[in-house]
Amino acid sequence: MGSTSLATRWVVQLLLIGAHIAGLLLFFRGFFPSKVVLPGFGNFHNGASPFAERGKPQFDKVIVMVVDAMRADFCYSQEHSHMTFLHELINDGKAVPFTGFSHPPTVTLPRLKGITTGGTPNFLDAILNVADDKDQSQGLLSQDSWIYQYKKLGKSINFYGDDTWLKLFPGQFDKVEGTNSFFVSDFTEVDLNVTRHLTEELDRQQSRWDGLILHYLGLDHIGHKGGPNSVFMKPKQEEMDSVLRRLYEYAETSQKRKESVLIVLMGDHGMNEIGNHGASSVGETNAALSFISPKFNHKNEQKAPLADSPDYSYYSSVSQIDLVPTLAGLLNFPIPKNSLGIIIRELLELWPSEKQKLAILMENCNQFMDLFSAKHDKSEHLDVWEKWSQLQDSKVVSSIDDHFDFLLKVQDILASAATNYNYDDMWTGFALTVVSAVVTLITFNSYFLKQSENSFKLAQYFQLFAIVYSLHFHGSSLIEEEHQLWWFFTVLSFVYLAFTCFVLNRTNAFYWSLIFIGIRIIRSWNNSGQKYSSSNTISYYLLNENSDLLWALNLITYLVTTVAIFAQGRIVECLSILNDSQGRNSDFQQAGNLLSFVLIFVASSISFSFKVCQYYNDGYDVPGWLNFLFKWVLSSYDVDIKSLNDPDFKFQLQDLNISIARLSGYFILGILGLRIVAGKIKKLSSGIITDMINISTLYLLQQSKYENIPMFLTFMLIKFAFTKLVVSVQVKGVDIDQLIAICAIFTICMQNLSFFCLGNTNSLATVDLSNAYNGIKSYDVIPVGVLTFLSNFVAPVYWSLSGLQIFFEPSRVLFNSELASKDLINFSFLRKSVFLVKSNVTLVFYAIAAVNLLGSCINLRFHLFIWTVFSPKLLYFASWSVLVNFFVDLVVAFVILFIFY
Amino acid sequence: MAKKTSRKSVSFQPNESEVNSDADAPEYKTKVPTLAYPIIPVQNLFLVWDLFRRGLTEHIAETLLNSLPTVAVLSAAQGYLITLASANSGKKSKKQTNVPLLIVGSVFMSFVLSVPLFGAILLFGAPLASHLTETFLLAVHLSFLIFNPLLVLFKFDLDAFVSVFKAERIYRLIFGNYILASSLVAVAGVWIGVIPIPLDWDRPWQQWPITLLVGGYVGSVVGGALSVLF
Repeated sequence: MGSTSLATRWVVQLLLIGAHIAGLLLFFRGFFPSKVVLPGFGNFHNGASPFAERGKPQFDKVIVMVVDAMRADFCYSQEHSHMTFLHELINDGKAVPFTGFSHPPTVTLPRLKGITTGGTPNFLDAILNVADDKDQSQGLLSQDSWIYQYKKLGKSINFYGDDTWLKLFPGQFDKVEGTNSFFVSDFTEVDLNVTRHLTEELDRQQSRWDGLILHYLGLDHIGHKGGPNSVFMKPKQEEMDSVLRRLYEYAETSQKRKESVLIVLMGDHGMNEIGNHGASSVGETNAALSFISPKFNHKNEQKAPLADSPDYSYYSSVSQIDLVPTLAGLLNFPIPKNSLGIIIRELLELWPSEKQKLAILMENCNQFMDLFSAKHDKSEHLDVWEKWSQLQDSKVVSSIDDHFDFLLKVQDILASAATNYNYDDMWTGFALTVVSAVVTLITFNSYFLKQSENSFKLAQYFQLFAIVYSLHFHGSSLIEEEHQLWWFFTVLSFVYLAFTCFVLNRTNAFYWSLIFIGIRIIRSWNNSGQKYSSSNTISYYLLNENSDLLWALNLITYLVTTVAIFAQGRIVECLSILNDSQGRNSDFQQAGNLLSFVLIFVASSISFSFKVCQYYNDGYDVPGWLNFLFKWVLSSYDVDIKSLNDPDFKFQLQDLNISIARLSGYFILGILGLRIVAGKIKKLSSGIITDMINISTLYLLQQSKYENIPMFLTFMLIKFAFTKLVVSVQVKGVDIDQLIAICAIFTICMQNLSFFCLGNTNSLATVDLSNAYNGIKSYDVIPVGVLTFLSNFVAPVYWSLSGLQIFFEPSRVLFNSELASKDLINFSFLRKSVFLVKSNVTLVFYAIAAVNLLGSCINLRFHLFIWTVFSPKLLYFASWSVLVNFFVDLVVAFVILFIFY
Repeated sequence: MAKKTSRKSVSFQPNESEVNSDADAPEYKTKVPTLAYPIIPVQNLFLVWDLFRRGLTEHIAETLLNSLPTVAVLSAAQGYLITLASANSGKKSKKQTNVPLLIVGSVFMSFVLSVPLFGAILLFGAPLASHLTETFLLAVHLSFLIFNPLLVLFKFDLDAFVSVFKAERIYRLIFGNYILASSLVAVAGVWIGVIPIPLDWDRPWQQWPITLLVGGYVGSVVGGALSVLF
């Protein structure tokens, strides 16, 4: 290998990365296949409908009111529900309340598929819900659903609300208006856009429909932004309650005209303790589901509202997909073919005759057995087949209970049936990652074997660390609590480094203790993982108990960042008009100083003002001492402060937020561009990494949650202390390969530790969307995707760039520009080879991890948690591997080192 | 394995061999006192048994506190054994050591050192918002377990102790020394002891800081035993 040229080694390295990523993608194609469903549409099994009561359906019209993220307690609990009208209806017996279990992933698109077709979702639906808006393959036109069946009766359906429905059922609704579900910072407009149609739709002269679907998004947005206890929750519930009142009044007048109207009020999923959803915690899976009509006379034993229930379960629990056969029964059409729902028992009471109840249940059983026999032949599940022949036998008397038991059993088997994996793709993908990992390990070891003994030892430690770390992919609870692993490995690695690579003396001990204090602080900042959640976190304290301190720290963070841009890098030199090397304080140079100072100061103050406005917009009070800034920003945009409940004011605030975020983004981009261009012209190439990272940090601050911004102070402290240590090592004599390994270990540990300490987990529920729309008016895949990635991966991006800076420009980190000429960045022959080794070292980590993760997913593909734990981890890992390791660590770093330099 | 120690294309100033002057290793070796016969802290197994007998899983803080006198007495006894063992071998040390003072001083210093140890345990990730009493008592126990034998062995000579980590063939040095091995493996034991805590077995002994304490005590015995085998 010694004779292999640098170019060849680069080609090998790129091939390895290519194989690694290709393997991952191929595995994904095989692991997340589309679900196999029975083609065709359901029919009545005996030719005639068992559902009709005296030849007529139970209900003539149906209104389905979906309130996004309506958790069961928002409807029923004493503490969290403010829906007084609904409580009255329940107590009068006009509403039949349930807690509806929504199958994970608890994201809107798969849930809508569930409550229309009655099927259980597959994981791909969850990804597509977040990823692709323009994809038409999600349409349910070819799949049986109650929408299809109802339309087939010649009925018309109007739809207003979340446009996910329009994606699912293009052209099926007669009158529509869709609103986009992704603009989460808007609480009011999305819902007003739905409600304003009611005046027309509830007027018999103006509108004729048989089905009306309303999907309200505001409550979900409030959850994402402010959590279930947000100040906006109460007015929003009251608003929903008043909508329900209007619908019920309409149903009452219809009832007098002998036209029965059924209202279904439901959440498509719930939300967890912090207002997010996507995973499978009790809060997320327990949504409200109420059937409401003046026709009902259901005795509810428990009077609403009920006492708070810790597991969010109120009244009887049903599955959300049970809605599908129930609607089929109530509206009199065949049960959709792929439905796994069971007719809800309480509503069966509407049919008085026992015989008809049994006929209805038999219809449900028949529909189940069609599905069951398509998937399982007679040799499997003998007890089911035996029970089925008993039920069919007219001589054996079977009770209603028998039917329900049978249905539950079959439902259980059908719902847990695994999806069909594409094994060819999975194994090929796995094989590719294995090959990539093996060859990477060979190149890694053969390289370090030729280097000094110390760097070889460190390389061994690194490999061992990567292997032991990646073993955790084989345990579901270890994946859920990965933040603990990273804490353990970070502390272990730092202690190992401190004792083996660094001199043991007082100064170093001091800097190491600074680092340990730093990581201990960030560990206490947020909750992570599934097991523990406490309010003893710094972010909770800052957000809920001490907003003065929060904003003081935020201000300091912005100040320090600004000072660092100004003092660490070379932006001032770049922007000064003359190259005044003699140190003469010419007016021109001062003008340059002034220009750069103004630019940087303006950019960071705009960014800071944006965070203040965003804070206010999310329903918090801006601290008194910052009010002047806030008012000044408002007045410069000609906005008067009014109550937050005033919709006009909300819109103005939103527009303001969008334009101010955009302005600050452009400003930061402009400064970056200016630095690159001016640096090229004036040939000030060194210092580029420092300037790039400092200016980008400003944008990363803007993409962080406001309660996480002060964490960057700690990051900067850790970076400073670590650079001090690295510089002392450089002076004392450590070879360059050892240094690469030290920096790689440090970077990987800090990237992951900070990622989890920012409040991220390996569950889809914590994907933070609150900064995904900074400066964006409507949903657009690319910018929203980029912003979502940045806001969730601020820490990995920050540490990736910092790793480069610590390695190549340590003197600048230490504000010591006199020594900057000795920094490694200046040795151009070294940059290429060092960067190659660094990229090889990080690939070792990702390649070993990929082999274990994919292996574990293949091994545990029938595991209970495969869709709730392992699949989200796969997605996170793909983001780490492709976006962080390939895009930021490699492409961005390459551009900075070799193009901008 | 013929490892070429080829010089790198670039190195930062002096090469490693130039810094660690060749004379270092032998000099350091003489600084580390050795014992004439092995001392394995088997009493620590008794301590663990005693802790559980006193109801460690029910009243953690109380039990840890109540067992401290036992710990101190056993530590002093172990200290005495160490002085005996090193007195036999220590022909070079002509200076007569005040044995009672050394033992009492070590016990006292172990108690004092538990405060910085407490800080270190917190920095290494012990809970901050709760369990502070338990963590502190853990620090006291570990301080007696780890520091006391070292203090007696090195006779309060910090430089001699630090020199252990600067020595070449550090593992051979550590595992060649009964006390060093037992103390440092005890540290490793505490370290490994955190692993069971987050597992979802829901056993009473998974409570903070029982596993760390047991890991430490067992580790010290294992370390001592290893050094005998070595």
